[in-house]
Amino acid sequence: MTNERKEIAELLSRAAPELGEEVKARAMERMTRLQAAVARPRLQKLATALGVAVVLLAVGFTAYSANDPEARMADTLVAAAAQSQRTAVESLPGDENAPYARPLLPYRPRVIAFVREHYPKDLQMLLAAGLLAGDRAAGEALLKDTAESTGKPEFWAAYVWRLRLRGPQYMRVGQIILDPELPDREQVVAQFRRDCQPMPPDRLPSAEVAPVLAAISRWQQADPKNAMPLVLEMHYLYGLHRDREALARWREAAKRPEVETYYDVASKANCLLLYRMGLSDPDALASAYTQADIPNFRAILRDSARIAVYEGRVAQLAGRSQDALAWWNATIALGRNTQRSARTLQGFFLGVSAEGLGAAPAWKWARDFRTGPSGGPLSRGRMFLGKQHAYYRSLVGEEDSNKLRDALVRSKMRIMLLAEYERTHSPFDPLLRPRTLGALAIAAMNLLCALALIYLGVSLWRRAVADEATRLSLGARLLLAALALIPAVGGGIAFWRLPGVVQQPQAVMVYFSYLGAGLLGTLLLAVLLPLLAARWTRRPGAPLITAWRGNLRRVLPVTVLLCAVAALALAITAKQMRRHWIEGWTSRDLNELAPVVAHYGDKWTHPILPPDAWRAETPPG
Amino acid sequence: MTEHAEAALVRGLAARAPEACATLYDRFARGVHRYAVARLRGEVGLAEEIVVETMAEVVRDIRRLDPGRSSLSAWVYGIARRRVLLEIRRQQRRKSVPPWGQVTLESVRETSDGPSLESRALSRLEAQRQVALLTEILSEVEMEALMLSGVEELSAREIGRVMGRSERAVHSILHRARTKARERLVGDDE
Repeated sequence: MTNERKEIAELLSRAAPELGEEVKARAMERMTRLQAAVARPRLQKLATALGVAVVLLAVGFTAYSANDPEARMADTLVAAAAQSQRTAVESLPGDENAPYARPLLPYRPRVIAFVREHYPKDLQMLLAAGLLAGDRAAGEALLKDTAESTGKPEFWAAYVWRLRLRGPQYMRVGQIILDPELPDREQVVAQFRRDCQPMPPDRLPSAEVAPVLAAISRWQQADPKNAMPLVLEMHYLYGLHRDREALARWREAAKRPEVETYYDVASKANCLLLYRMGLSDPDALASAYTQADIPNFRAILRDSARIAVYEGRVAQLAGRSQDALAWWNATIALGRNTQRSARTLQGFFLGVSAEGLGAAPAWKWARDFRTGPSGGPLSRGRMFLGKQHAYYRSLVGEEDSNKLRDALVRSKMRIMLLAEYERTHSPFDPLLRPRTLGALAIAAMNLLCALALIYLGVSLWRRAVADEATRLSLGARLLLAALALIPAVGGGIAFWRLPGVVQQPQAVMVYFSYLGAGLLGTLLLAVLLPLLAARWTRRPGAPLITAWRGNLRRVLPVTVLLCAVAALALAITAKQMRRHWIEGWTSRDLNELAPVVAHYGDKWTHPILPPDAWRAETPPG
Repeated sequence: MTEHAEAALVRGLAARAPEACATLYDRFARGVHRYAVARLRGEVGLAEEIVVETMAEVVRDIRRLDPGRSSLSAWVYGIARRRVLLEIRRQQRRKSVPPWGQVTLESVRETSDGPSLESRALSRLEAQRQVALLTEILSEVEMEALMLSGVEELSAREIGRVMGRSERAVHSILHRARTKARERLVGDDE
């Protein structure tokens, strides 16, 4: 048998020629290449494991981040805040049965019981319950008790507001414009009374005002730096015809460094309580910002400033120059303090308005159309001399008068900076950033999943076959992945930067924006760029399609990993921003003006005055 | 190749050691080539391709080898056999032998550079003729078993592993094949 086997072996040996070196070279090249294609060094394994971990983490964290209650609450509150800014200009606080306040009606009877059951020691919730309570007496009692036990000024402010709603009815000065040409006191008084809506009673009833004044007094004690309780006191004392005391309070108020109305604190508290009670529709929630249950002392400050200007004019006509100056200068100072201490845009504008009212007798800002569309440095307006300019200058001197003029110009310039800022930034940009980042994280996740699916499909072919067909360095892989991601990044930046995109009412609309176009572009490039590259990277003899698969296998994991890192980073940042936003929103640290001031820096604090910002003449028209 | 050397080669291939490829080639290329030439009836060019592809597949799939179930030799020839069968099926689909597969004695003479080469070529052609005779008298299975037995000296168990037969069946097939081959080759010599 062994011989036969040897014979067969010898026969086969003779039948086959010797293998040439060329065959060996070919075989060795194939084997070496395959070893490189199949090889999984430890570092590569580690990188793969890390990549998988990052992808899983990104998927998990993004899903968690999008669904956690904090995120949903932030989104709802942001949308409500943005919505309230739109409706605030249309609706004034007042009647709780007004259409915009109706969504709150079902909640009012339950607020106190709800807070006592779920948040008995949460001051923010207690404040909101006191303001929103349908039963006014119960609401007042809750606010007063909490104010006395805690000494928190916002509770005294809220208590004063509820008392004020109860009455007595008081005048609204409204848009009164005193005619500076009126020659005597009687005519001025007549015009003032005519323009007040509703007509003020001749004298407020003392008995009814007494509890309000008592509460204001307690508020002052709890809030010694705040000018607002003094403004209120002046307002009521003026209604009681105690004018000297009213002027004293007004001058004292002008010395207080802060003007705090607690409007934002109360509106946020109301909004949060309603959200916790189940009101999650942003539009309905927005009414919590605009309805009557928020202390709206801003209107009182503006009315009081108008009263002060009127009283100054009356004093001027009566020959009481020092009183006139006191009324006007106190109003100017109060306006400046309001500007300086404002955390919201509305507060800032209120300050500018009060300052302008106080200075109106001396200096007046007016639109100037005489020199064409761009005729004035301050948005087609300039400072002109007020009707009582000479009188005012005679009392304070030219230098102080000019200082006042420059300060007014600076306030106007800050308004222009604000307008410029709003043109380049979404007005709700800081508020919407957490939401935008969350949307970007979800978009990155979607891209990741789409690319991972394509990769999975490509992986169904044998790796070694595809990998062997092409040569692609690590640098080339990174370059292709980076090129593919350019449209998505571009779409993301446009989505982030361009105002209005993220305010789409429906989430799905996000994908029909720049972001959706960017994602689609990236998907196409992620598939087509490896095909393009395969023309140069494929090995001799390898089919183009196989080389394409090989390139896809190498490029897609890098792209998926980059998407995962982006999604993870965006989700983490969005979560941090949401937390920060919620903290700022629920506390008193949220400052609407801060980003504007930070953006302009010195340009905001010390704006350079345009040389022709004013004219030494009376306003046109 | 001893068991120890074979295990070392498998480890080397699994560890992607470059020298293991050379060892693999030196160890199996010639045998696979002979086997393929015999099975493909002298198609030398195709046999060379099968050598390259078989070596590549071994390197690629070495982790699939289960030493407990199969020796390296049996596994390598299993791969070679599968590729040969694929090639045979492909050839059967063709209407004629492709031009590159047709090598005449004249062409060998024309390209030869001396009598030594010519005599070697003649000897090879004679051997191929005898192999072809064997192919005619032996069944497919018998020829397969005989080739594997002759080329690599695989045991009956290993041949069974390659061909999917039991050890006893392989013994029986080999016995019949050798008897027929002996008769035919002796007769041919006479």
